[in-house]
Amino acid sequence: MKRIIVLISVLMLSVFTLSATVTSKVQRRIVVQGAYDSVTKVVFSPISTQSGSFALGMPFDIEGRLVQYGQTENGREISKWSLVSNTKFKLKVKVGKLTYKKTNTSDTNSCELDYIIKFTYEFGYYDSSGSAQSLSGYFSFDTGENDGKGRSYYLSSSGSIEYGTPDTDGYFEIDIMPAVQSDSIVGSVDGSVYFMFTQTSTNKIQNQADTVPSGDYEAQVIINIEEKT
Amino acid sequence: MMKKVVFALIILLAVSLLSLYAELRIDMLPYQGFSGIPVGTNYYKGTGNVYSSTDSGWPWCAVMTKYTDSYATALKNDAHKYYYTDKEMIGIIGLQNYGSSTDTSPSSSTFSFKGPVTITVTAPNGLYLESQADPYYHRPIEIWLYPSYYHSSEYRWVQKKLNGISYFKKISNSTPTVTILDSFNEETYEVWFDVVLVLPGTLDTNTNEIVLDDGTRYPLKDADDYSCLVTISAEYYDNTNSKTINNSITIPFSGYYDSSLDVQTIADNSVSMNIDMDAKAYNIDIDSERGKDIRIGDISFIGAAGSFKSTDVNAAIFFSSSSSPFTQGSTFAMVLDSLSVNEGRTSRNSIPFTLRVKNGTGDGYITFDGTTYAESSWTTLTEFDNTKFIIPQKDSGTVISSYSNDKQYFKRYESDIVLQLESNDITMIKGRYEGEIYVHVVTV
Repeated sequence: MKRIIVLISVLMLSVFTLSATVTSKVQRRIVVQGAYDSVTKVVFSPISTQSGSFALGMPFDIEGRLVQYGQTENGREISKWSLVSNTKFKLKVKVGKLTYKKTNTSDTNSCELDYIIKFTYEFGYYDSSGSAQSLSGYFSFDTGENDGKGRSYYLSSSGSIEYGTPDTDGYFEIDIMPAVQSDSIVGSVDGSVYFMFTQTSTNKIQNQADTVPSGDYEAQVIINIEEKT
Repeated sequence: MMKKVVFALIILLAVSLLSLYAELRIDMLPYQGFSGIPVGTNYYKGTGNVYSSTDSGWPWCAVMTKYTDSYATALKNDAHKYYYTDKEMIGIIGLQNYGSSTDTSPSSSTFSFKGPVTITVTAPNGLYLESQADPYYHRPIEIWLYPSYYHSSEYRWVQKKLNGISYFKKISNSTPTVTILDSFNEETYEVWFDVVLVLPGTLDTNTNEIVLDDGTRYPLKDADDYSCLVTISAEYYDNTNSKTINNSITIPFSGYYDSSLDVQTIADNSVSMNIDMDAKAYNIDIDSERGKDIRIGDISFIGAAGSFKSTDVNAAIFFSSSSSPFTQGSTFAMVLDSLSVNEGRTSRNSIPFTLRVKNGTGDGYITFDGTTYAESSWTTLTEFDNTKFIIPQKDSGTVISSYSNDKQYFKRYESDIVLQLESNDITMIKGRYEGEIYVHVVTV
C-alpha cells in the first residue's frame, strides 16, 4: 500500500512540472534603421503583364482601350517605384517619346508616339519634432506638351506645383515635398507608375492609326536622384 | 546662539509628528484584461445601456460577476440586469485610510468623504488600440467608471439614483476627464470605483471595419500588435487633512484582430507589453553615433493573475535577435540592406550593437547583446539569472471595504531602451542598414 501512495505522489509531481515550464506569452519584432554616410536610393519594379482580367503591367497592346486618353483616371499601371533617403534630395526626370523599334537596319518604318506618364506617391517621413507624417501626391509628364505637371496633396494643406522648362539635358526637376520646409526631412516613398496616351493632335494612335506601323515600341524614362548640397 | 539650535530642533520634531497622522490615499490596482483583447469583438460593452428611465427598483444596476452574495445575485437576477464580467473589469480604484504615512496597507476604508473625485485618462496618441506597425489601423476605446460605496449600513453600486443624478461615468477621447460623485456632501463613506474597458461600435465583417453609432468607420487589419498605453489618474481634495491627494497608474493594453475568426475570443489576459519606438530608431547616423547612447524607445509591461488573487505571474522579459525565445540568436547587428544571403557579414557591411534597459528591480541595468535565450525546460523563475533577464518586481496592493478586501499581486516594469553601436572607426560601405530585435515575454 505504501508503494502505491509513493507512486501517486510522483505522478502528481510530474503533472505539476509539466504545467510549469517556460511558455512564450508575448513577442514583438522591432526593426531599427540607420545609414552609413548619406543614402539615396530609387528602385523601379516593372509589373509583368497579367494574364486574365487584370489590366496591369508591361508589355501591352498600344491599341488597347484602357491606355487611350480618358478611359481611366490614371491609365494603365505599369510599375511600382520606391525611394529612400536620409538626406535632402532632388528628383530629376527625363521622359522620351514612345518610339518604334526597328526590326533590322533595313527597316524603314519610324514612328514616335506621345503619352502621359504619371507617378503617384505616398511619402512617409518624420518631421523635425520626431512625429510621423505622411503626404501623398503625383507628378506627371505629357510628352506632347513637353512639360512636367505635378500636384501634391498634404495632410495640413493642399496646393499644386508647376514645373519649369527642362534643363539642357532634358531633365525636369521635381520637388515632391514643396510644402515641407524642414531641413531634417528624411523618409521613404512608395508609389505606382501609370501610362496613357495623350489627347493632343500628335496622338497618332488615336487620330492616324494607319500611319502607326506594327511592331515593338519603347520609351526611355530616366529618374535621377541627387543629394542636395 | 544656543537658543536658535533648540528652536530648530522643535520644528523638526513637529514635522515628524505631523507625518505620523493618519492619511488618506488613492489606491489603484490593475486587475486583468490588459492583453489579448480582440479589437473586433462585440464583447466589452460594459453593460451597454446602464440606465433606462422606465426602470424601477434598481435603475442603476451594474455589478461585476465576482460579487456573489445574495445582494449581488438579486441585482443580477433583476429584470433590468446589467453587469460586467471579470474580463471586462481591468482594475479598481479605492480611497482608503492609512494609519500613518509609513504604513504600507490601509487600516480602514471608511472616511469622511465629500465629492468630487476627478479622474483623467490619457494615452500618447489618444484612446485608441492601434497597430504598432501601421497606426493607420486603430479603433477607439473607452474607460467606464462604476462608483461603488458603502453608506448607512447599505452597499450601493451604481444602482441607486440619488437626487436624480447618475454617478456612473464614461471616459472617451472627447471626454478624457470626469468628476465623479460630485454632489456627495461630507459624510462617512467607503468609496471605490470599478474600472471597466469598453470597446464602442460594432464590427462590419464585410469590410473589416468598426462602425460607431455616429457612422464613423475604423478599418482594421489582421495583426497582433494593437496597443495603447493608458494612464489613469485620480485626484481628490481631502477636507480632513486639507490637502489634495492623487495617484496614477499606467497600463499597457494590447490586442489583436483576426478576420478569419467568426468569434473573436479573448486570449490570455495575464501579461501585456507595449513598446513605443522613437523616430530616432529609424534614422541612426551610424558613422557619427558609434559608441554613443541612442534612445530608441521605451518598454512597459504589466502582469497580473487576475481575479484579485494573491498569486504571482512569474514573467521574464528579454531582448534577442532570435524570433524564438528558446533559440540562441547571433549578436545584434545593423546590416547593410542590400546584403544577400550568400554574403557573409563583415565589419564593413555590418556593425554590432547592444541594448541597455533597466533591470527588473529598477536599481541597475541589463545589457543585451542578442544572444540571450531561455531554456524551455526551466520550471521556476529562480532559474532565470536576474543579471541576464528582466524579472519584473512584485507589486501588490489592497483595496479594502466592508464588502470585501480586494488584494492583488501584480508586476510592473518600465524602461527606456538605449542602443549602443560598437565603437570603432572602420570605413563601412555607404548605404542603408537594418537591425532586427525581438522582445520576448515568457512565463513559468
